[in-house]
Amino acid sequence: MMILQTLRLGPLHGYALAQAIRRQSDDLVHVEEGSLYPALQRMLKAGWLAAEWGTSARNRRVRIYRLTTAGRQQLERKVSAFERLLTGITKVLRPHES
Amino acid sequence: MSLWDRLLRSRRVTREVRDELRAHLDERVDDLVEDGVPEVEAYRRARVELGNATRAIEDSRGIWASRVLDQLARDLRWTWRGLRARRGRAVLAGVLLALAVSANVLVFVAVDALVFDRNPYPNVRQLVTFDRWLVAADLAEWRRQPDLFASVEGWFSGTTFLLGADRAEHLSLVNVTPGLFESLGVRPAWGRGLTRDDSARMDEQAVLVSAALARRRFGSPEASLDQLIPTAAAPLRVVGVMPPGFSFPSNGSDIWRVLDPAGPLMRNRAGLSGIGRVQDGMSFSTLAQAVTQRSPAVAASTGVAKDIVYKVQPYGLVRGGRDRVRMFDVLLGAALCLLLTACVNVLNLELTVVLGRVRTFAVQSALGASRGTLIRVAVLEGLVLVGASGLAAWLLATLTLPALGAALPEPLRLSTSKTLALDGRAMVYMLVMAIAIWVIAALPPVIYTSRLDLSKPLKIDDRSTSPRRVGTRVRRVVTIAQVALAVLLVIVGGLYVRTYSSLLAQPKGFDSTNLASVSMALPMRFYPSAVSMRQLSDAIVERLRAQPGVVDAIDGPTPPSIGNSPTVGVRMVIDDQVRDAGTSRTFALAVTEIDPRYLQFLQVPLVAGRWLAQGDDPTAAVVSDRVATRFWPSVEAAIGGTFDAVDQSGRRTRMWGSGAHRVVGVFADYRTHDRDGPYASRAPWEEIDAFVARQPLAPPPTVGPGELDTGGSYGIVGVLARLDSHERANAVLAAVRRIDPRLTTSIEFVDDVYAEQYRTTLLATRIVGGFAVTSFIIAMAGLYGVMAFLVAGRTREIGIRMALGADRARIGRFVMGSSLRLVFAGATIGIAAAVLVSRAIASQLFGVTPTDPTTYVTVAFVTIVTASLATWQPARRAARVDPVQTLRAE
Repeated sequence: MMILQTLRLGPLHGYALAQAIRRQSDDLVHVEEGSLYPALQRMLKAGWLAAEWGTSARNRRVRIYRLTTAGRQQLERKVSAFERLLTGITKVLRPHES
Repeated sequence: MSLWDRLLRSRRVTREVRDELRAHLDERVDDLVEDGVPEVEAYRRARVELGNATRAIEDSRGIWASRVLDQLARDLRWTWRGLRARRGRAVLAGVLLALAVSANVLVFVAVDALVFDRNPYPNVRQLVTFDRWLVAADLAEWRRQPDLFASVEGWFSGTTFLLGADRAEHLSLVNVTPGLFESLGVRPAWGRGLTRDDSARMDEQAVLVSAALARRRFGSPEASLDQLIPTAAAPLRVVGVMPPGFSFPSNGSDIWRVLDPAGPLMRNRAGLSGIGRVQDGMSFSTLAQAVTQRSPAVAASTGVAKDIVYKVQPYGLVRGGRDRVRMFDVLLGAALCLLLTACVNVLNLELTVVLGRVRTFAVQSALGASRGTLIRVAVLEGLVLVGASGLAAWLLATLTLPALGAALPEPLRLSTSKTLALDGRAMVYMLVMAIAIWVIAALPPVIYTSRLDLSKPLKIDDRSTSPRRVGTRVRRVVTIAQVALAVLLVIVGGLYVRTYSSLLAQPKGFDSTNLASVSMALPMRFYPSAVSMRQLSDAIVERLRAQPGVVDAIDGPTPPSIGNSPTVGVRMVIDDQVRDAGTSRTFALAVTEIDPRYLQFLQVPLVAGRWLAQGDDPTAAVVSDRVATRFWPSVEAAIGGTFDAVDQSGRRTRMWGSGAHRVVGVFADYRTHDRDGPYASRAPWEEIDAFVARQPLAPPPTVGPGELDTGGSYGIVGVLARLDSHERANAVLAAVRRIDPRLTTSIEFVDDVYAEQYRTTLLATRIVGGFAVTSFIIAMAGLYGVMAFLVAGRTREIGIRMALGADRARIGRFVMGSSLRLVFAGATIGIAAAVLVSRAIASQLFGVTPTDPTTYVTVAFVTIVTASLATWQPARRAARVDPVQTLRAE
């Protein structure tokens, strides 16, 4: 979900994507960056992402990923589901506020 | 998506993700370096942050490829690596199997075509042949029994001379009734079939020709249609061309001429061979009964004979005699033995590989390969090996099949209507063999692999010998089996070789040194009378005598032929007393007119009486001592005796000569027919030959005009010439050819004619011999392999023994002894098997007993000597083991 969310802002290549996620999560999420790539492949296969080869800012040959329409819809579904979940959790945790 | 696409994509994903990861790493390193981190440290940190790259690649690929495919790809990769790692051995195993399999396929194809001629024509299951000749009236009468037969047709074989620009081509020609091919279920591939109307025309006769003849003479089947072929008699009009590969009644027929069973072609003929097509739904036994029952009525209405019983039999399904079938049994057996030897050897090689790879397996399993993977890889290796060698075998068989076809003796080749081909049946046979090979050679290593104790895998080495021990025991058994099979094959091969040489070494009873036969086939159009033929043969004799290099020449039959064919089924009248040959046999009498000098020319010895002389009348005869002592108490007593023959009812038969003959001389019998050989005809008659002086011919032609119509009637002029060397043959042939260039003239040596009788035996000898030698070499190579393996595995033991005081000679003897024990065991089993097998083939042996001591002792001796040679090198290596080095390695 974080990947889709990040890519909503614009196409990125793998390393840039990893850096963006790291920054957004304030270094809180610590995963092996390598595991990003199988995830990307899974989304490619699902049709949420499209990828094409291009060059990075340092002129390296990299694959640039962008969100597809299907990916955007998927993100919206996921976000709303997550928000519902979050609302539910919040309600449970702070019942007096409702 | 195809399997291939999926595998390709899997590779592509791997490549792309690897590239991405590398870019990722490099970018991160650059970032860190820009932040002031030293390059080495930057690289280390980048790697840590990236994590397990290999897993990322594997996982990425896993997303795309299905698990099964991925596993398969990996298994294949390992299989390929495994095969590549043992390059030489894998190739050796493949070559061995390919050789053995192709030998088997070839023998199978030959047996299939020559012995079991199953399906030459679509209707073959409905076809029956009549056991006696039919005349037009018989045909008509049986055709009037539509409840039994859908059709009844007839044919007879003859020859014709096709006239070309400069010479006459002498070809076999089959005369067939118009409906015959329809009964067989075959149609011409080009043009039309024969019709009843065709048989009415005699000035030009409608024929079907083979595709081969059409191509040879006219360039293509299409071009041959409606062409007129000139012959020595009426020209032939090509109305149709039969499909390629078609033959009737056997291979070697090229022309089929329309035949009216009541027409002029039947003049001077006793009858036709009959083929009936059984009415649908009628079983053979019902038909056979009905035919027997209706015989008297049919015979009565034909008016030809009264008490004839017609019999039918299914159109020949199994051809060739029992002997031929048995010979092919031997060939097939030999081929299977060879295959088994090869399999066992491959098993040996495979076991070595498995044993040698215990460590590899251990490492692979430590890296996470499951037992399942190892077994799958072992199975795959076997499949790849068997598959590859199967393909190679098929290729090899395809390439060598034409050579086999050419090596077949003429009588064998002509006895079938099938050409040798790698057909579906051969394919099935090969498939079954491949499966058998896999089970024998590749399955045991798989089982062995599955039983490997992988819990303590890395410990397996020279010291912990349990798997090696097991392997060695199996390999000992395997080696004994190999030696036994090879010894069996070599003994059988040896018996064949001795049979062939005994056959060739049989005394002929005359001097065949440099004796050549020159023969010419004469169309009666060119030589219409016996007088003109006699003139031609006299001219040839004269020309030959004048030819340098010719010692002498004479007009007469080429041995083993005696000239005239005998009149069979007669009773002999000896000195006015009727004699019978025995309870179930009759006599066959042949009286041949010869040049009175003929027997002297052959250098046949005179035993009693005198030779024939110029001017003797045909009552004066000479007979062999075999005939003389058959009827008279001694050869001397035969002189002056008379003989004649009568038929079974006691009437004089005139077919073979002019009444009673008086014996004037007795000569020592010489070998004419294959009377005593292994394939001697089991004819139910006893042959009696006699010679009389040839008589001057009366000038008027003795050949009736009726025979001329067929265009194929011919005489053979054969002249014997004794040359001073074999090299003269071509010059002599050229000289004779000049006498009448239109004719087909040939020359052959009498020794070759005799050897020709045994060509089938020679072929069998060569094949069995070849198989035997091959399997012997394989077995000895296997023995060498086992002993080398044994020595390598026991280096430490040998080293310790030496350190304890064993001398080198003793070590050498120890290795030699353990090898020879295997060989003795194998040879004993092989010899025992040979005693059993050779008894079964005793009927094919000649001049050698099935348990011929010379053959057995020689084979045993050669086996032991060769085995010693094969063990010599490993024994020497064992003796050279340096105890110090071995123990230091501890």
